[in-house]
Amino acid sequence: MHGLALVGLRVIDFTWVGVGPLLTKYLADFGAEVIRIESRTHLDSFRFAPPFVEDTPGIERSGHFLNLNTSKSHVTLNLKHPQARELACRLIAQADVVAENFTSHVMEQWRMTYDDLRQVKPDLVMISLSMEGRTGPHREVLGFGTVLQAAAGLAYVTGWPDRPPVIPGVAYTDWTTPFFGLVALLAALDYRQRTGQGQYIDVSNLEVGVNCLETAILDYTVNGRIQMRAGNECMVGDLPGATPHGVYRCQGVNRWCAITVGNDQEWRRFCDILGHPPWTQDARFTTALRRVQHHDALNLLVETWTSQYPAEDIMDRLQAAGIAAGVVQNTADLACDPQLMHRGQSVWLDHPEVGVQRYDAPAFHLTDSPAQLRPVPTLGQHNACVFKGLLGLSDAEYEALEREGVFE
Amino acid sequence: MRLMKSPLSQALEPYRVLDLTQAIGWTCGKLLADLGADVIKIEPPGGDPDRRLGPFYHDAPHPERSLPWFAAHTNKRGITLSLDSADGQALWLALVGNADFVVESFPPGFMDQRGIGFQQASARNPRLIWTSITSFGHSGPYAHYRASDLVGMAMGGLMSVCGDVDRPPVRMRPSQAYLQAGLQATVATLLAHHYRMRRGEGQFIDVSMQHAVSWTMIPTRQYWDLNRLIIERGGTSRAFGDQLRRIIFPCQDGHVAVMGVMNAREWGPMVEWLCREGMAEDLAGASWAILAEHAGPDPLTQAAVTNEELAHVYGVLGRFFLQHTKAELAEEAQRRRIILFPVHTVRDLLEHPQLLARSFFQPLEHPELDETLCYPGAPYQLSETPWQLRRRAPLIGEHNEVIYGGELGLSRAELAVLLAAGAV
Repeated sequence: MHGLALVGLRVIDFTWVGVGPLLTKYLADFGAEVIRIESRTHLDSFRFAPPFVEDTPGIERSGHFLNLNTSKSHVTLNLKHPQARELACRLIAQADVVAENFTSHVMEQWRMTYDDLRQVKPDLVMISLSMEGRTGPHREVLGFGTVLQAAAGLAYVTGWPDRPPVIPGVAYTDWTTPFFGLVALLAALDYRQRTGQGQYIDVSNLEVGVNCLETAILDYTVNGRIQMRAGNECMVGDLPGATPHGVYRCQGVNRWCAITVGNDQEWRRFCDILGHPPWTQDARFTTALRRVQHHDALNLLVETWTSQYPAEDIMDRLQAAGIAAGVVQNTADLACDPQLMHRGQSVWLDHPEVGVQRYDAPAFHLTDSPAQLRPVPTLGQHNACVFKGLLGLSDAEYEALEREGVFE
Repeated sequence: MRLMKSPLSQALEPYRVLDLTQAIGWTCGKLLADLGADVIKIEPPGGDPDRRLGPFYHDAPHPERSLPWFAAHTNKRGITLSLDSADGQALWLALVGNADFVVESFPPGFMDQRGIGFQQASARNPRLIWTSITSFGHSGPYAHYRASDLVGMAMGGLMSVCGDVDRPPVRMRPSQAYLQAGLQATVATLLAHHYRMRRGEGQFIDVSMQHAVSWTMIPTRQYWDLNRLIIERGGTSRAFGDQLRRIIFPCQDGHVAVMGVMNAREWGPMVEWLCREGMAEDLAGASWAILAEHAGPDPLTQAAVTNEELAHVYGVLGRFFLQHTKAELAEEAQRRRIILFPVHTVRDLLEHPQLLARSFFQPLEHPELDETLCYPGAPYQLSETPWQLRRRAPLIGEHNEVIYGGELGLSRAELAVLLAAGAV
């Protein structure tokens, strides 16, 4: 028996850019009916963000926008128009979830806060995602994940102790917060199913980011230690004393392999693979403790071996001996990674403007209720279907509102 | 800080989770437990080897003082059980009969080889949801490959965009590959739960750490998909397509992170700020303003300038930032709606006005230490079923009696036999 996990769930989606649309994409890919609301007068800024299909800008052509909006319906509605709010509320009255990630004042201006909307739909579950939360002195803070991750403490601990903090080349919190949001939302929907009670969920990217620091907080509050950058050294969750433990240069330009040798048994197998060059018998490296004490010297020697071979060969040979090793895959490697391809990372879907393109399927497999990606809607594609079909507007009413600019 | 919590409802209160994860899966059980689920952490007899992970409470190594263990097992209960003994396996199947979820992170086949895997469990309890978190997934060419957090971050691609250009790629710290695996596993588990609520059936879930990490790289990978451009690590800079933007700048007392002010919305306020302090140099010129205007209002896009021009602008900004503290810069930048944040240390976070206003940090009592420790708090605020810290991480075998005795009905004598035989 196969089916979609969230069939029957209706979501009114006011989200834009990255964090919100990623959250609602997962809902949609698993079967929820997600109706995205956007205004032509204030389009999602991801529509203007490169890269574009065929390198040609256009509001239906941004790769980021397309990939985050699979399986949704799309309507245009200008909430600044006095007649738009009533239509939005009528949709919400027939929905289960409202999602939004504007700065705090936007939903207030539209009189569409949770307190407003629960009048319309008493058991509504509403989720807001913002930089630093919907309350407190920073409730209006503007930001992007690229820099917010530094505010959450993640940059300070990433990089080398003798160098400035490194900025990860991804907006890390933007790709983490939506999943935290999904956990909260799915739990709240379970609670509603059992009790009939809706609720409001306030997700702060900052607070999610600080949660990603895990033990670094306790290490400070308990031991007074401010955790610092430490390159690729061992840390929380690693086997204590795993050495070699690092990233080693391999043959070719900018090719690297990450290796973790966990204990003495693995060290012996590691030496077997290397063919026991004389340095492996050096007294500095014969026990786990000595290897940790001399890890800088050890790392240089390991690199004399790795740099002779392609990173893929290093990985395969060490893995064959049961040692954790992996290529530092760049984006070209990821795009054709045989394991990710085997897991169905990519789905090819058609679209009236950009044709058949590659989209990303969720990262996990539910064996009996797998995700099912449907094509990305074009701007306002479902206006008639939603406003006439779902809300029951007559043709005449619909056209009158259209002339008024309500659907701009 | 609030010391007492009101006895509000918990979102996942009715559900029991059996948690057999190692560090790769800890986040999953923790998120479920902190939302109210009854998560039972199952450790090998004598205690989980992961209790040896430091740092430790007051830096004194001890299996009951591991801070990673504390952090990852809040709100969980704990029992010991040997999955290798016949008695232990029988107890496991008895526990499974009464559970809603199993979360485990053994290598593929580990539980099946012992005859206590999903098939056997599901035969006893067809509603059971079984979430398996592995390094690479249950099938495919790398299914039997091993991975640490370091290797997961490498194979998921995230490491390729972290680090200084003249040094090897670096990991994001702390263990973000493990975190992504456990986080996505939680989403998957709750999705399967919604399916079960409708259809009454459990199922098996296959979560891959590599696949989870690769999700953080999707927008970056799209530059390869669509432009055949490989984005590399940039140290204090980040590449947006072929634009390399300096993000991190030193200031008086540390560093700040700036999204990039070369757009129509931020350029004017930034230049005005520089002028006010007499540090604009030549940036107040009209030609710069025209370039910024042309970039449009959104900080996602930046004025098209040469590398020399960019270096010049960053030079002026850099000299200015050095005159101020990170807190001064962040406050004035937000006032001007310029996107700039401090690079916070952990100490900064403990003093962060927003985190304090939202009572983010939470006290949790550790009676054995005779101390109340300060933990990171809610990643989400739920109005009706708030996230709560109810109990500290379990001690080794702390709930053996109440679970094996109280629930499974074993007598003290029987429990003593199991203990002597190494089953619990």
